[in-house]
Amino acid sequence: MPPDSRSWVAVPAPVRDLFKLFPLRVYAAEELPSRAPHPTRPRPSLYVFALDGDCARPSFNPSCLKWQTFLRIAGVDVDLIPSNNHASPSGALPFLLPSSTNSRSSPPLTGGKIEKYAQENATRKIPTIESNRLEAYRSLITQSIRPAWLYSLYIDPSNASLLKKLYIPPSPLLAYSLHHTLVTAATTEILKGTRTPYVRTAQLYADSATAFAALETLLGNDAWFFGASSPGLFDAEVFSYTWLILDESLAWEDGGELQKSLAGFKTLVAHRQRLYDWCW
Amino acid sequence: MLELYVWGQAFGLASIDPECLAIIAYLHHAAPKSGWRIIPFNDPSTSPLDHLPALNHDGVWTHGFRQIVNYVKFHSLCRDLDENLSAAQQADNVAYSAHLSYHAALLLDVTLYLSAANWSATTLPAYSKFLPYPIVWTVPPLIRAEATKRVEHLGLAELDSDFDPSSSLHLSTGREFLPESFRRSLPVGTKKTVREEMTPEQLAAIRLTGLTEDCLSVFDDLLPPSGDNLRLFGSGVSSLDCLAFGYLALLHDAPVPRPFVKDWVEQNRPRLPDFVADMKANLVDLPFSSPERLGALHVGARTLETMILNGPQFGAQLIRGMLWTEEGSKNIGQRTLMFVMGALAASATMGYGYHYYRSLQPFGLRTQVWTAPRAPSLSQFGELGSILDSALGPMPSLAGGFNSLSSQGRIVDTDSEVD
Repeated sequence: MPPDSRSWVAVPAPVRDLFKLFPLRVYAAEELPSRAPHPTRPRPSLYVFALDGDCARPSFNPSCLKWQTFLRIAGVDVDLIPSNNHASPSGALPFLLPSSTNSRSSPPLTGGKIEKYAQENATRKIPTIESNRLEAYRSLITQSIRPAWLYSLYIDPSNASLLKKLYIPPSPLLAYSLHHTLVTAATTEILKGTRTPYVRTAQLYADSATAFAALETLLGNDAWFFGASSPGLFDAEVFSYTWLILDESLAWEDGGELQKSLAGFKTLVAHRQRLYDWCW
Repeated sequence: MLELYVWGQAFGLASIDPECLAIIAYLHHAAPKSGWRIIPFNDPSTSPLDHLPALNHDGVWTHGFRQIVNYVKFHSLCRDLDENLSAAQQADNVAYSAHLSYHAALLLDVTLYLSAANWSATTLPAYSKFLPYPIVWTVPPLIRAEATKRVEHLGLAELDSDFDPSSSLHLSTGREFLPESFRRSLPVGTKKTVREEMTPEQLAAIRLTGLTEDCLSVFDDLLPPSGDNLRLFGSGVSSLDCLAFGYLALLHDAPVPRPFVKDWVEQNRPRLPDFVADMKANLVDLPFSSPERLGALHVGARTLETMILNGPQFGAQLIRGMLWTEEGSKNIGQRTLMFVMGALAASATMGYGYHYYRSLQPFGLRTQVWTAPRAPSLSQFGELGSILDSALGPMPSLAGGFNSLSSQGRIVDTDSEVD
């Protein structure tokens, strides 16, 4: 009598025979796909929206560009990996996988954690700005410049071809519905900020022009915002919009409102070029 | 004459909406009393852009606080309160206004609208005081739903007790209404844990405090640290003072049962309540005119519209499609056209499907087919029959009539019971 027949989980004989016919076998683990991040990285990798083969250049997404610029300001050397939202654990780009020498996986960093990481690993000094005005001016970017940016890229039909090039896969099956989703998401986002039932184009552009004027006054004759001796996170944040709005490699429609209005603020345009030369 | 259309009064303040309150304060300080009047309006849908506050200046409509301020400034309709500000202060004015309309507006959404306790005890009764009869049921839930959507990303959904498991129907609630015999067989309500005893606001206290602090400490630092001068830019009342008053007064003065903002402000930033009280004390003798009466037809139409908007996504999508794409005008946009076409196609498909379904047999019934005898003659009764048959000739019998009705077809008995 086999020893296990008395245990209460005794397997009936026919089933046992069946399992003997098909013995359990554990296969060796599959290789991860070649695109998967390696467990060991000599350098941290930043996942951003970027056109393929264009990794050294600024990303075309403001939020990605902000962190990309900030890491460059801090002198943290990162590998840029073109990616999309589906790759991100939080559903939004960018995220940073810190460098690691052992195979223990480290959690991906987003938002404020990237800032902390950059400050800890900075090779250049980053000025710390203790000012309540900083918070107010950051709200200004979120509240006044971002909606105009969203409108001009996602909703304005004359920039549809640019949007298609940047965010929409070439497959015609996906293109229409994805475009629709993006437009709806952008509209919701704008309306959340303006708290009106309509998107009013003229108002959005007027607000962004007011915001640019306020930023220009804030910058004054200084090289960097808040009179710092070197650029900081706020400079990167402003740069992420000013760079992209006037970026000629993006095929903006000719004479777009946002481009015209920003081009009028010479100090901001100079700041944009200064930070580009500093980082790239 | 400037006509200012605003939301109605609440909590002892001139309006329940922060921007309306702010623009009232602005015009109060900037314009002579005879030059403008306030019309409590309560239905934004009548103004062309569906948004309050709205200023009607001889038929020209302007909406929103900053836009109205710019409009009256541009047309020199009243004194410019910001004229003494330096260029840097002008820039700060713009930035701090953006800060208010971003952070303080979110905080207000959380306090007055998201928090279920505050909403049901304070905000909803305030709305029901000035909204006319049927829309009072349909409009406030819409306002709340929009506010809830705006603060979604803060992750404070538990303040809405609809999602709060401790407030759901529990066996221990209403025990006294059950008969004694039932009650004994029910499990005794367990003692509540500390966590269950806490209100959702207390559970989220750390995040709420963080939110409040981010928003309000900025303004407290702008106020001069001491002295009687309670103005954000030192000198006279500026447009930022008015906007800050609009938000802070509602945050501080609304008599909510869970006053986390008020508690925080009074403990940490006692200058802010002084600022609100000072601004409020100045805001007397306002040129209120009688509220505009809405016609019965208008109220009816508005009720219908808001009922659809209140309904499931389907109808709301239809109306929003009209609202979104257009700049001010309410004509039907491409989205709506697409939607209507889609709805028509879907209903046509469903109609066809229904028709087809009706023509099917009911499921589970046996189909019985029987054929009538082909040749009704007496010859089937053997030889005697055939003799008789030839003698009598073809006879138009009952069977024959029956046969002619259904000689080719089949009779299907749908009523037969299968048991």
